[in-house]
Amino acid sequence: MDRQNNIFEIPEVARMIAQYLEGSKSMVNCLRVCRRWYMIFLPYNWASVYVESGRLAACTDLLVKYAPFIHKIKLYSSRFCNLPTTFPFLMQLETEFLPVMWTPSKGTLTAYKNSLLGLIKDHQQTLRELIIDSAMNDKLFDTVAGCSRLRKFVGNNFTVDCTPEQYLALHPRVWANVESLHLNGEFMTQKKYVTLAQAIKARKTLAPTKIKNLSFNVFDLKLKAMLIPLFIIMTSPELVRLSWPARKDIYARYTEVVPMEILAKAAKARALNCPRLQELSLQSASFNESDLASVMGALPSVTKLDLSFALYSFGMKSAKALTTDYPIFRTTLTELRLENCSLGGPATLEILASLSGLKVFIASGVSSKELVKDNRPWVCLGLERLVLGFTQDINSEDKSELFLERLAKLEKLEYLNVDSVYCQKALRLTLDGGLDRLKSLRSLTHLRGSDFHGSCFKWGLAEAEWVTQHWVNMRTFGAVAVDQEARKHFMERNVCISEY
Amino acid sequence: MPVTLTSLDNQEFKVDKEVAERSILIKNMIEDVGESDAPIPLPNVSAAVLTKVIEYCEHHRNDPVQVQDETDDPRKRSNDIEEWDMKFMQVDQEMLFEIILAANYLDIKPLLDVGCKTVANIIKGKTPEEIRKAFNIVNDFTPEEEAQIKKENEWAEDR
Repeated sequence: MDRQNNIFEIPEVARMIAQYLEGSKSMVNCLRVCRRWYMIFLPYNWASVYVESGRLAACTDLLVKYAPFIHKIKLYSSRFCNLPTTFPFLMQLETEFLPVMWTPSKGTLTAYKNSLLGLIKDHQQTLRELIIDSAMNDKLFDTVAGCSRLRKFVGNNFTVDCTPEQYLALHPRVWANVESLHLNGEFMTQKKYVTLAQAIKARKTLAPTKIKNLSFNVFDLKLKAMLIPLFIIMTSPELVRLSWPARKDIYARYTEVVPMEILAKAAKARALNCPRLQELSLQSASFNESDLASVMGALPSVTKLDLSFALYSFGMKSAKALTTDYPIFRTTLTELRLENCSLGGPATLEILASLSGLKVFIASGVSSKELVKDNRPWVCLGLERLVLGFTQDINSEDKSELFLERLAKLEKLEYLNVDSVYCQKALRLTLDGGLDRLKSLRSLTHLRGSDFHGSCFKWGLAEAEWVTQHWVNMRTFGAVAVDQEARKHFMERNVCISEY
Repeated sequence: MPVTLTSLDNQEFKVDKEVAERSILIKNMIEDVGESDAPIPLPNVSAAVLTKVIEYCEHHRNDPVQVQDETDDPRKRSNDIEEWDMKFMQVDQEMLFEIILAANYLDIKPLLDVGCKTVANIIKGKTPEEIRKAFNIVNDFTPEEEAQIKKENEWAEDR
């Protein structure tokens, strides 16, 4: 083979090429090219397989033959997990069990649980990633605890079916090596459960986990359902990312507690000890300002906060929790997402005028009233991504000029969205409307304007030439109407125009 | 501070240290040896290829270091090549492969990645015969062998 085709002989190169061909017909075509390519690409063709019970019979021999190559199995089975062989290098196992409209008989469910248990047991020494979709009893927990190399565990649609005592006995072993944990479902179905105060006290008896990434989604907002998540948070000092089901879900079958309140109570009891936590997601939160303040006060290392889809408006008191109650966030918070939070103008201004470390600020549904004030300059001059979706008119006479002046100071902006879908009038981003004030935004690559239909303004050739002259990195823009000449100008320069 | 790189054919290139250090190999060499005016020999890379590699590193000099993120889609996509990178990779196949070899030797992960994506894109959508033609490879299978490979391995592709 000549020097050129040597690239396929380098394992790292072959692996990278193969990963971009995974799951496509092209991979099999590569195997058919020549004997050498067959040898090179065969392991990658079998690295990941998808098995469903209906086609298991047809593939039994192949699974046995290629078992040593198989690193990942995705198993879709409504009946069993009985595979014809074991896989010496199986690292990832994903099971998908429950068909949405089908309730299995007790016998079927027991058979499924036992076969899943057997499958995991057979691969305890190699499994690094386990994604399971089924009921979880203490036996299964015990088996997972035997997976000494397990780094990631995802549990979907399952119920943890054991008592708090059984769980507490297994907790240190189950999560001994896991770094990434995502649980969606119900927890602890036994009627007997401890109080929150008892749970907070019980944490001291548990060994710390190594979990860095943690997310929960709990269906029934009962206190007992929140206890396992809470135990895990309280015993995970290495946490870097946390997503907590902060919502008070109107669709939940049973709402006994507000998750944010529980987190706040744990914070007040000084039970949240996560000094490395950087990313905190409390999406769809329903909270009062003092609970938010308590949580943020206990987690001062957070640099990225997501409170999108809050059920109640994010008012001034909430903003003050970040800007005044704990002034550390003025410089350390780099990302704040407040999508659809019915954000008030004064609260938005408080953020823009106080949080100087922000690089990303996403806020849709902003009432633009008082978004700019003469005596309050924006201090977030390092912003790279800014979304301000308005619910009221931004173009209120003299204010739009001040708004443009504030925007012009954000010289590091790469992405700007001033969507005003609910407004009567749009911000006039035209040369006679003050566009020239924004020529300092030289890093801008994406702009989403404020006028879908061109009802207020339309860019002509003059604006198009201005854009390509001053915003030299511009790649796409949307929600800005353009005329034929401007469109041609942009197309010739590979600037992409989208309707939205 | 600039550093000097010497190519296989003894041509010298003066580049900024931060540009040269996009190569982990060069970064480690500088760290090991300390600050020095001595040229760094790169005996596996010709001047023509090194010129291209330096062009890439110049363009990406301020890129943040790539971190493997578990939230990434595990199935990699080969069609998300940046526009500049795509144009940069519009070279003949010999140069493309030389860039990949150099990126591998110099340990420049993002360049290796974009090179491999480009090769994957060449392969995608082609029949085995078209792939052979594209890479100048002789078919050493009998028709029966090739049919058997197709039959056995198609099962794994369907997921």
